[in-house]
Amino acid sequence: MHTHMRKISKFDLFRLYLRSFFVQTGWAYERMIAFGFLWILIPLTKKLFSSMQEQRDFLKRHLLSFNANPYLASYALGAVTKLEENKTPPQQIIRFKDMLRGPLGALGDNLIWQNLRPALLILGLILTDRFGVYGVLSFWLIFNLHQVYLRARGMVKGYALGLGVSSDLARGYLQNMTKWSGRMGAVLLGILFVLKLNQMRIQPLQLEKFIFLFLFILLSFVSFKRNKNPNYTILILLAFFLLMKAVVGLI
Amino acid sequence: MIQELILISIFGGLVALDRTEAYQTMLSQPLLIGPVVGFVLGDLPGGLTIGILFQLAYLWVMPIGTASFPDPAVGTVVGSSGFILLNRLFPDRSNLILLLILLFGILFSLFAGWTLIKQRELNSKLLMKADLYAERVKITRLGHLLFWGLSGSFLRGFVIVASGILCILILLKPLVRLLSFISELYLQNVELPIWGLGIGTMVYLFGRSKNLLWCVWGVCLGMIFVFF
Repeated sequence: MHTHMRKISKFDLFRLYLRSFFVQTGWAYERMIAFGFLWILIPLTKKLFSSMQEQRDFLKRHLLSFNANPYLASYALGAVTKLEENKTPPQQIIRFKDMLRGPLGALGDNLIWQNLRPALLILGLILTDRFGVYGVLSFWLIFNLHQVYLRARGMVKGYALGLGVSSDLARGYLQNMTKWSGRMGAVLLGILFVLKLNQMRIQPLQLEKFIFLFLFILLSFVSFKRNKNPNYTILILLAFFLLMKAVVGLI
Repeated sequence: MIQELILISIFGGLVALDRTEAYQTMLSQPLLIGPVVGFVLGDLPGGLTIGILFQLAYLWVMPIGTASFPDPAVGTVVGSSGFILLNRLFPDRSNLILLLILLFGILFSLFAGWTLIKQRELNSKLLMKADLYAERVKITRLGHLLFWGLSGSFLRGFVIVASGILCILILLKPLVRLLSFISELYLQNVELPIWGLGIGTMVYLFGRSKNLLWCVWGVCLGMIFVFF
């Protein structure tokens, strides 16, 4: 027998956790985060495998194509660590990683990029309006406290559940977090909108500005609904603004 | 001036790292970039203004999977630096400078996004090296590849920011002089379309029918803040 059953210590998991912040390094179109994923697992190579052949196979199988949202990749890392420690057959590990790709990408993108990040940014904008640069710092601090927790949670849950990690993804924390981030974003949008209108109310020529702000919001919204390239939308809005200024002299 | 340029370019490199390669702490969000640049160049309010506007303009950018997207992070470093530097030279032309910086920043974000694609294509070579080292079980060398990946990204940010600021000083400085016939009054409220775009993006993201009640709650809360 070439291999020895060695337990992964808490310190090992902590090391992998710290390394997980580099999961996107070397991102390439063919295999996406494969390199970052392998780099994080490197400390396990000699710890879990003694023969050169086993080490080679381990390194090569984790260089296969893989992708996940960077903040949720630790779920896969924890689970794969557990499977490697238990000497799960390599083909099963590869299949397991393939299976996780979809949920980790979709859930993470929905939670982080579409809900949490914009919601916290709106909060940051509101706080910046009131407290200046401290508002910006609050956004940064809140987001990072959560991301540090999320990555740690992923590592711990992944390692504890192994093959069953998908059950944690399907219910509980991530789903609730996504739902409540969306709601928080909606509430904050309402607050920001009123604050912006109030800010304009105390300036002269408010009626024209109200009308044009609504028009710009409407144009942007329709452009997003119709999947138009937002880069063009920005330019069109600016051109429209200058044209209105020239023709009507308003705003 | 050169010292400032180097400092801002180093910051550009760090921002590029945070954007795609490491940590993802959101240091690469324009809302954070603006004040940092403002602090370094001694104009915190100016940096904050540009940071907020770029954030609103690029709230829609989501670096998801293999999608190609602009890189507003590097664009904001360049834009806010340019805004502050040009404002020093032409303190009474802030609206014109703001408009030019917005246009330049948008174009530059697109260019920076293109360089990101190229960098990711280059990363394929890194992967090929990794394959080789994995085959030979050269674990230390595999570790070194991370350094090269990070260096490539840092350099991308550093070079683009440095060249962007130089572009602004070479191209936009004479352009501000050239466009001196445009009155400042004409360009007043140029930030309004960007606010419209930002709020439009938020409505698109959060204004779904299931969230409508929560939006109404927000409006009520906002009114309470305003009136009390």
